[in-house]
Amino acid sequence: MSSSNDTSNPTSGDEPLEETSKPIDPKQVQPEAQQEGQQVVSDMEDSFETILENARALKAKTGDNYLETDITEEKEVRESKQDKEENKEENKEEDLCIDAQLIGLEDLPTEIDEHWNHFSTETMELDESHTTSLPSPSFTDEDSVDLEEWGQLHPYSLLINLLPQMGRTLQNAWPLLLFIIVGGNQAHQVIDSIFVLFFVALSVIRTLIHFLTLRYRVQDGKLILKMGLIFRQARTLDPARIQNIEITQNLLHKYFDLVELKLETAGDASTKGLLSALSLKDATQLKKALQKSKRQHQYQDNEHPAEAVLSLSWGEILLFGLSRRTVGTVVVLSAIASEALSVMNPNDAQQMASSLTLPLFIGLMSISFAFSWIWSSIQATLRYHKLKLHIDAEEINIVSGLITKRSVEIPRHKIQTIEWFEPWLRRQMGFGTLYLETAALGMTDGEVRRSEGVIPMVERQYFAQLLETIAPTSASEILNAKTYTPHSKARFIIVFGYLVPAICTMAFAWWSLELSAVYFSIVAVLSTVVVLGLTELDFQMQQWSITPHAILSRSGYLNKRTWLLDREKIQCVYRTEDPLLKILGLSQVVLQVAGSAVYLPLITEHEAQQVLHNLTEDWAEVG
Amino acid sequence: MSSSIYTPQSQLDPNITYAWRFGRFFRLALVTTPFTALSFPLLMWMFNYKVAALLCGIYLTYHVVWALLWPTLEYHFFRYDIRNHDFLVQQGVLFRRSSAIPLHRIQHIDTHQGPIDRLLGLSTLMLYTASGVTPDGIIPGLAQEDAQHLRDVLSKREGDDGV
Repeated sequence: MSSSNDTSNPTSGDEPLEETSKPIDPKQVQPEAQQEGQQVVSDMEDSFETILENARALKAKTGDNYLETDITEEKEVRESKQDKEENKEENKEEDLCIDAQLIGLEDLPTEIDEHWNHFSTETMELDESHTTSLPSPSFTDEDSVDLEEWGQLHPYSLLINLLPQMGRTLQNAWPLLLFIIVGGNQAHQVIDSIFVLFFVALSVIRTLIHFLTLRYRVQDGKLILKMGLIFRQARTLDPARIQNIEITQNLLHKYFDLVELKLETAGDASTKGLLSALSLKDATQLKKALQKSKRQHQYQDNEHPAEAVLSLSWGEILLFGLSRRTVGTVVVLSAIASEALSVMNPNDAQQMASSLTLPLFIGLMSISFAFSWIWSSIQATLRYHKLKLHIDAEEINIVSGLITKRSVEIPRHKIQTIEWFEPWLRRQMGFGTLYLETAALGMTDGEVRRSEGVIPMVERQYFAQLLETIAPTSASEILNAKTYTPHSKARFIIVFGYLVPAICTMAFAWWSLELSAVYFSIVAVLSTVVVLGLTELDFQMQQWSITPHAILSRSGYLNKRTWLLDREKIQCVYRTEDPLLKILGLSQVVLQVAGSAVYLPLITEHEAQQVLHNLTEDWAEVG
Repeated sequence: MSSSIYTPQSQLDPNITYAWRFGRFFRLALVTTPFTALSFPLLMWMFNYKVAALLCGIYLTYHVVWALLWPTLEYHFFRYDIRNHDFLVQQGVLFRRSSAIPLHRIQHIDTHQGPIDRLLGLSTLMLYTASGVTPDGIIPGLAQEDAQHLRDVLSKREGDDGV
């Protein structure tokens, strides 16, 4: 807020209420805004007078100063925590008052409600027009994109939110529930069911509060979300900071014609689970308002959706599902299962092991493979059914989903890195997966949050073309650029990555299978060959490249990954050398972008210095 | 190609070694020594006198070196510099790390001062970019006025954050 704004704001919460009816000192208003500002201020004084009159009238009627505090409540809550403490009781009542009408609870004093409604909207508009009009002359702008009214969730959100809310409640209280379920006997069942009922009731109350208190609006081109009953919070989102907009519609949503809107920003301030049930109209209106305010300076008319650049067929999605579950999962699962069985029931395990013939073993394995593949195919179909990718001048839009429909919009300039992921099996089919990472990537609640920009199956020959559509300058450069290999000594470091699991496997074999020395040496030789072979293949795959605008890094044989990043997106760079790397004369270069980091293959210290030097030259030009 | 690779030259305030030493000796006296004293009989019971002595000896030596010798080395190897477009830090004795932070990407700057720092008139400067929650550049020992001056100079820079 600018200083001119602060000094001339008659309704600012620091000043006593009476001050507002006095004419304001013209010296305090900045000269350029003075004329218009005074006009607006006098307008507002009028409306404020009427509010005060109304308040006095009502005060006389009710005979207490309840409403006197209400008028300033809106600002006090925002500005002082101490007052918040005192007003807590009042806030609670007021919120219920406003919202009681909406859900049709008639038994509350309606007269006060009406007045309060009147005041609250009046005071808020006053506040808003004040902050917008004084510094900028755009107050009477007809193209104003602000949503004037406070929007709220659709009443059906009560239904839609209940299950996720219950899930969240259970998540918080799972140890207690586990205790109840496991440790329950006859006598305790009454207490247990009371506990369960308590959790259900808690979820219901939370859902209700969420619906009753959540309000949103677009003001000054910024989205403002207010929520909370006792702990109130207001969140302001700048549309220019939104990393992606996701609209989802699950079965319940579809039944009531609603959608969920999710706006993700860098950091954890996403609106996940907040705008969980909006009518389609409200959602599009809000989205339009946000997009418009974002583009106000460089407005371009992109009303017509671009043609689908890529759409996935059912067969491709099935292939994606098939190539997702790796062999490793099945092996690990069956190993765990057999271990568990032998611990729990040694006799049966012994019997089964002795009756296990080779054909039976192969049969069992193929059944478990088939099962895991079917499962992941189903998952893939649910998520990526009928995936369509649109790209226009500003945004990348991905629409997909069988039951839960999902539409993700990512502004093109928000993409931080592009990851081209080709696991071994998918590579053999000639496909790869494309991840478009934005700064929304990061850790939330201890889990890695990835960007929603995933295109699961892209044909290899189509990749270059797609990349040039998404990132024209850097792609054409980097795809034709000369690539470098890591230093040959990098093999010594790569081998460690395979050696550790290999040693673990051998230790497991030694300990549990009780192999004879001959067999064990065969296993040891075989795994050495595998480790060395994989190391060499991995080394051959590693590549990096640097062009005036872009950087590429590639690694991995079983899970081949290629990262591409725009040099303009780099936040900072560093190189590290631990004692082992120092002995080998190697260096690890890390390029940090918002939300993630890209590691280059291991190169010599001198090369690393060159890369860092090269990148810092960039900044010299910018600065 | 290898025209002019710039290595930062500025060193920290020499007093920082005292701050480090003090902190580490404090830890040595309050945590490491009691822990060793307690674990020695346990190790003796588990293995034998020699193994226990060896393990505890290694553990104690490591911490004494860490407290006594290491601050000097760390001070010696820590170099930083601010050029007009970026900020360079080189640090680490065994685990080396050299980083470069463009000034136009700095999101915010913290100065931090512990009780010992205050006694010695030192201040820690932390630079944050949009890349994550942890600071991307930390300069632990700067004279207080220098730190404040740097903070003021750096925070005046403006730029596109690339997010």
